[in-house]
Amino acid sequence: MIRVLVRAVGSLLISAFMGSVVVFLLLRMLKGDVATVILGQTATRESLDALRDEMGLNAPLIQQYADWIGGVFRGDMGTSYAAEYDIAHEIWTRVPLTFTLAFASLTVSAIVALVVGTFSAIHAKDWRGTWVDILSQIGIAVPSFWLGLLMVTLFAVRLGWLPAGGYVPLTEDFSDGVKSLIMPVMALAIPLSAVLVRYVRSGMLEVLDEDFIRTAQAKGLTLRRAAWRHGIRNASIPLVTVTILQLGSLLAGAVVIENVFTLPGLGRMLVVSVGGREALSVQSLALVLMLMVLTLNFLMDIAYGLLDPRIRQSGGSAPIA
Amino acid sequence: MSDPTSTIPSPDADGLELFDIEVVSPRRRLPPQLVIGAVIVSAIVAVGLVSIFWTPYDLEAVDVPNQFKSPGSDGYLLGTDKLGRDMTSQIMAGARNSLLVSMISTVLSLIPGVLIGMIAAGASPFWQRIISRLTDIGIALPGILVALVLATSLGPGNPTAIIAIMFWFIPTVARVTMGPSRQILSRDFVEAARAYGRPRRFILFRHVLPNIGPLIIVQASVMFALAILIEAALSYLGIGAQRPTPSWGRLLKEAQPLMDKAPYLMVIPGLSIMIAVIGFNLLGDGLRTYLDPQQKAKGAG
Amino acid sequence: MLDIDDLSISIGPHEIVSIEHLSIPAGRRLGLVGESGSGKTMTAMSIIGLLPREAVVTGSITFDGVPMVNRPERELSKIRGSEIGTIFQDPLRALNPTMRVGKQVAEALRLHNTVPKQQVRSRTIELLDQVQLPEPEVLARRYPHQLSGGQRQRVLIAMAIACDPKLLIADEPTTALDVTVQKEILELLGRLSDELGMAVMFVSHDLGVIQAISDHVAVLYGGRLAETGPTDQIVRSPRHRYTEALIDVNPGHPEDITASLGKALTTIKGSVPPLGAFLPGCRFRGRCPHETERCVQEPPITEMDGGHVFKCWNPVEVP
Repeated sequence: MIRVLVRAVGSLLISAFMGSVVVFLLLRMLKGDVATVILGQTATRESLDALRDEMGLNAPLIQQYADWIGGVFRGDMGTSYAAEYDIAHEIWTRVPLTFTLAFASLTVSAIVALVVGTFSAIHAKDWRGTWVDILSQIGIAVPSFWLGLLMVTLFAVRLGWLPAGGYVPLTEDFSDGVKSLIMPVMALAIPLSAVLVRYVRSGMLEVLDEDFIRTAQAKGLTLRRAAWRHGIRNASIPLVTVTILQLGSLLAGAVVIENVFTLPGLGRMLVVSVGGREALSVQSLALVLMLMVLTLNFLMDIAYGLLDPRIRQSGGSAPIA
Repeated sequence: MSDPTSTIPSPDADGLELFDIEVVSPRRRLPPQLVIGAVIVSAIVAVGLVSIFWTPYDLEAVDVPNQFKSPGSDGYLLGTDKLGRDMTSQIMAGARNSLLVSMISTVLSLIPGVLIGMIAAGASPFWQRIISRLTDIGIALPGILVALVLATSLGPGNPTAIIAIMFWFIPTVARVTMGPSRQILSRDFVEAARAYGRPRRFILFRHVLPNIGPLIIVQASVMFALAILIEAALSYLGIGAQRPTPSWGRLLKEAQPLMDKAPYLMVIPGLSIMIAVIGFNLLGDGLRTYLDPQQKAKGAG
Repeated sequence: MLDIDDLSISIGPHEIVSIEHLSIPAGRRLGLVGESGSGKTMTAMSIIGLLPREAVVTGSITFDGVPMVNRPERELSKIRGSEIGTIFQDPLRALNPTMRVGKQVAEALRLHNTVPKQQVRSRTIELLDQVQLPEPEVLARRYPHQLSGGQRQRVLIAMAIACDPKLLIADEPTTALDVTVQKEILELLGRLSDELGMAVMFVSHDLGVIQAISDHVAVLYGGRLAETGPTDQIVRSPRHRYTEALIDVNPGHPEDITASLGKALTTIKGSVPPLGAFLPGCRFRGRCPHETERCVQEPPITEMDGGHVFKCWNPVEVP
């Protein structure tokens, strides 16, 4: 188990490092000049040069990269050009919201997928299974931001049950906080669970075919109970695998949803920074978002190891601790 | 000559293999998803193509007196927006834009992606690990994120969107291609080809590629659907196609402040996106079922 | 204790199994012998109702006076595991790979409230000991892939007998095991049957194995009974031609192998026809070396000779 942990952490660090290089380079695609990005194409020579001096952009790329990463570790990501805020501080305060959004959506999706997927596998051959099929097709195709807009129109504008936007931190007021998060989370969770349902279903269908389900029935379990007791763990494995692949999309979706609901998270900050051509903010924001994906990935890897004991002892029949 | 004590291998028919009974399996027919998907996709492509030459009204024709017409009134099939522009025309043109972006990004990603995947599959474990690592990172940087970053330096627009999508698609395709390619490379007939002296490139193109062909086709369909969704999201955020280039996503953004007054402005573009995505997904599902009827792929060649 | 009468199992238009009568008195052991496709597994599974959804069952199966055919799932699940235990062919696949074996055995106890909660653990260890697993406390915490094939089968047996069932159905339990382990398992099963007064229905294609464990034998071919009777009688003087062929083909017990060395291996010509391809007349036609006109035209009728029942137009002569 320790080996799985260590390997996952190492993997995380390496990916984070390489990803940061990619982000760094992406921002310098315009002849490698951040100053032009910030000031725009119409800026004067002098202002460009001044900015370059100020930001140390005349140094070699490696130097710039090292400065940036070094700063990140120290908690210094620079200040934004126009609004003069401390980037690191802004990011730090927004991380909890975005992470909560992503994590909550993940959890809701997983639970929904497991329940619905198992149900549809057990009833695969009758009309109930077909309905789930159709619903999941629709669910996958629904753009999450559109779903968010629809929900706002219905639940906020028409019915007034939930707020149309804005965020109340859970620490301030729990019930208000939850209310402000329900729609964003559902907007993200519904498409995601539609994707996951199909994998749970197919994983469960395979499991139901397995001999040990037959053994469970011969022991006296009904098919439904056998599916839950013995199948869930095995069907969760493809669930985790697919979820890992969806993490990037999930975070991307969170970025968009934050803008739909004007939630003050990393996603909103990112879009605003892009609009304002704040290259430094964008750089660090992209890094942080990527780190979030990698962290969630890491957590999933651990879950995977917990689910399948065969992975845990890669390399033979060592006695279990 | 038969040995009555041997087990006759039972075909994978309807779970009856447990009981060693042979049942004749039904003939392969065109799966319904394939048909429905193909119909939807063709319809959208047709609409998109037509829109190049003709739309009911001029795309940018502002006609404020006729603003906010609901769908079905006064000869406006899908209504008008706040400036009196015809929605039907905008939707038709939006189809064209979505298809264009999706097609370019999908095709331009498939070629390098498949190549990398295949080559990596046959490469040494060292290189495989590196490529796996790179694809992992590529997958962790989703299209929307990359697009936002690129938009900062390159500015908004379709080209930025396409590049960003490709940035994400290529590693995804490579990753998806690597697994099956590796499996095929370990099969006996490939061993034979190698023993026969066939060069690696030959093996890859003549043996691996045809076998993963169906997989790629299915993958392409799914990628198309995804690209449509991503393009819509990017346009919604304002970094996709800019006016006057039409885009469903941008229509949604413009509709947002009006959702109370004219909800149809929001429903229609969203539905269009959804239908297009469903169409491509069904097409992909149908192709998968049609091209590989045995879902439980056994190792037998 | 177990009575099967006029059992018919069909899938779609094909009647897969048709058995007029089969029974197992309490504590006795019946061996069900036949090739793959003979319907023996179907017959066994029909007792506990674990057939594919499409299967249609008619007739009567009475277990301890209780009718079993088409019984609602909920009632069946109470009987399964507690009154009737079952073990299957491939012990690796029959066990949940992600659950410790002790827990899987304990589940049988918990399901039917056989012992109070606090005693479940100790009873599990006892059961594992009863099936002769070494160091049961340690082994209980292992996962199936950490055990050997024979150990896994013992675990399955422990699971099946956990609630002291009146009947044990064993579907090819030794087929996937090494020959030496096979013997041990068979001995274990025999011993358990004696100790617990448990009846056994042993299904197999291997006549040698059947011979070792059962006191009565039923030979199935093409879903129909060919011959039934006491084991030694059937083996010594079979009447149905298929049984005769089976015995010929069987190389015998491992210890006798030296005797059969040098003898040419015989086989039954042809192969079992697929479902729906059975022609009128005796099911064994086309493969029987003693086929007659009549065999082709009409299905043979039942003949009885003491406890020995068979259906053949041209049976083996009794000296």
